[in-house]
Amino acid sequence: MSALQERSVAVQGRQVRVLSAGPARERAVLLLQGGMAGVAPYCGGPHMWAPDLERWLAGQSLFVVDLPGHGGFTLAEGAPSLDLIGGQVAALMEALGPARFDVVGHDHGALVALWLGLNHPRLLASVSLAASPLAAPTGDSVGNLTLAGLPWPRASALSQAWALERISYSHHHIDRALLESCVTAADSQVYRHAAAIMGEDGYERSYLPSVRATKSRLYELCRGEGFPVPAQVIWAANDPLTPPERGFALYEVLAAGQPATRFTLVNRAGHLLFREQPEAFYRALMAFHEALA
Amino acid sequence: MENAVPMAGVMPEPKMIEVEGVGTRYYDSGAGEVVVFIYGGNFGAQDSASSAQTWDQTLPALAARFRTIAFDKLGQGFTDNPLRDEDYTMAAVVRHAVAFIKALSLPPVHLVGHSRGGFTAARIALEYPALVRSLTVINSGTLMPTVSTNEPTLARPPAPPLTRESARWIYEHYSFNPAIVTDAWIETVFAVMSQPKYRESVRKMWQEQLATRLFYPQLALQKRDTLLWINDGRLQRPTLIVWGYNDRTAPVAGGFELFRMIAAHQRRTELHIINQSGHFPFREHPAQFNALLARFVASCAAPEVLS
Repeated sequence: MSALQERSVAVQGRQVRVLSAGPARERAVLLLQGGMAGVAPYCGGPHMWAPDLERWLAGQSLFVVDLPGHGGFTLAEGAPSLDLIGGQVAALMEALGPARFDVVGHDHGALVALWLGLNHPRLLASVSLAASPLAAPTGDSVGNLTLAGLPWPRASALSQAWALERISYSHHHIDRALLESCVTAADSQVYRHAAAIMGEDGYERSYLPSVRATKSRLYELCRGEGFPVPAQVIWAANDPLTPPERGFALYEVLAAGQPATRFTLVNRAGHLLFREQPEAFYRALMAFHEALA
Repeated sequence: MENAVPMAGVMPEPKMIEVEGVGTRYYDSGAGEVVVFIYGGNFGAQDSASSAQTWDQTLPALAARFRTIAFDKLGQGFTDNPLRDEDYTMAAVVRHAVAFIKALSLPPVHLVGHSRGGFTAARIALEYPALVRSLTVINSGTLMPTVSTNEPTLARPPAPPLTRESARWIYEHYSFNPAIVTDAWIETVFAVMSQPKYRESVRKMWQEQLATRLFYPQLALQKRDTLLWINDGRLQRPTLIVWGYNDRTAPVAGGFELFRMIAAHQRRTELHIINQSGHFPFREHPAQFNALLARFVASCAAPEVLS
């Protein structure tokens, strides 16, 4: 992450940490992390994407931000919901400078990307939706036991390593630097505050219903006028949390009304496909963005 | 992303080379890593007739970065027919393609095969891995293990065989957007069909029944070997699979099955599905296809960025 420049941007009266690289342009790539404080068993943040991120996305105008509730982005007051978090991200995007973004969302970040498509399409050049169990149609799905026996305490390196290995195809990308970054991120005031809100009952009573409502709106839109911006669904062939069929179901929803829709499947990768197969993942992103230019 | 009718690119001047006694026409332009394109179909088809001109959205765009070569297959386009009746087989098509690559003394190449050409390309990667750097397969009903629905989809064209009207109807039904079937495309198809040598291959296949006596039974046996070999892990080159989502002749489920078979043994396997595209994604969405292929070829040519 060393070549990324860190700065602080004022958003809705608070300072938000933003990492960036590359030239300033009217169209930029924005990476939105996965995981959710108090819910995901690993602590996400910009450290998750991939070592040498600026190398994989060389030449791009690139922004990497925390999801609200993580690192340098405090969760706003109020009942936690996709509308609250999405609104915070949209306000940050307005403050960043570029007119339009190619938003790349992983997991919960992909949900935020879809929310942005529904509510602020003019901010978007495209969305790329990566390995997101909740963003895909879930139907009456079978329970997933991948993370059923989480060790305690959650924020320890032991627990983080256990969870990261469980959601991966291979453990080889999990190194000391990643675990230290996860533990450090879990120790922040911002994260503990959000984790407490989500952990009590905010996630189940407030956030999940808002996800459901957003997806209902998405399905209605895709049955009608269609998703308003180009969309890429990029899934891993070996994700223990969400199989390729789920990603393809999301693709089919979006493809019905959006001509520029791509489905990409990456081999020998799990939930963190951008760490396990960074070359294939970032190359697919760049090819999609290039064809839209 | 482009939805308008694509403009034909400018193909280089074609060249001729004799390959084991078979006059073979090809296009060759650009410099760098060598990308060889293999189109679909087979000799003696009555409703459609492919030729290397089918790559006119692809070749000129990629020639800025790579040496791009597209040749007319045995008995197709403007290449001579098989010299002997027993060469009216896919095995002979594969042998001719291999001999062509050797005749040009090419280094290991990036093979790009569409439809039946995807089968030929995969077969070369299996049998002659030393010739191949990477493999790209596009909407190949011939290679995929699931049911190809080209016969019912393309049944009952509204005009007699070997006419412009019939060919147009066939290509329109292959496509998501029928408007991509331009007059220029159909004129090229008709020029191929009108050659005496092409009429001779039609006669061989259908009146002399080489299609049913030889070509199809041999292809079925070769396909069996090919799928067994892929399941055995014998396909050992990076593989890019590109599929048009709306292909009614090679349904997208076949692309998934092919991915699963190859990906089980070959780490660098990837599947990309392009929306609002029928059987010819490289013609319906050239900007998307060219960006995918150029970046894949570049990554396969530079081992330092494999990880």
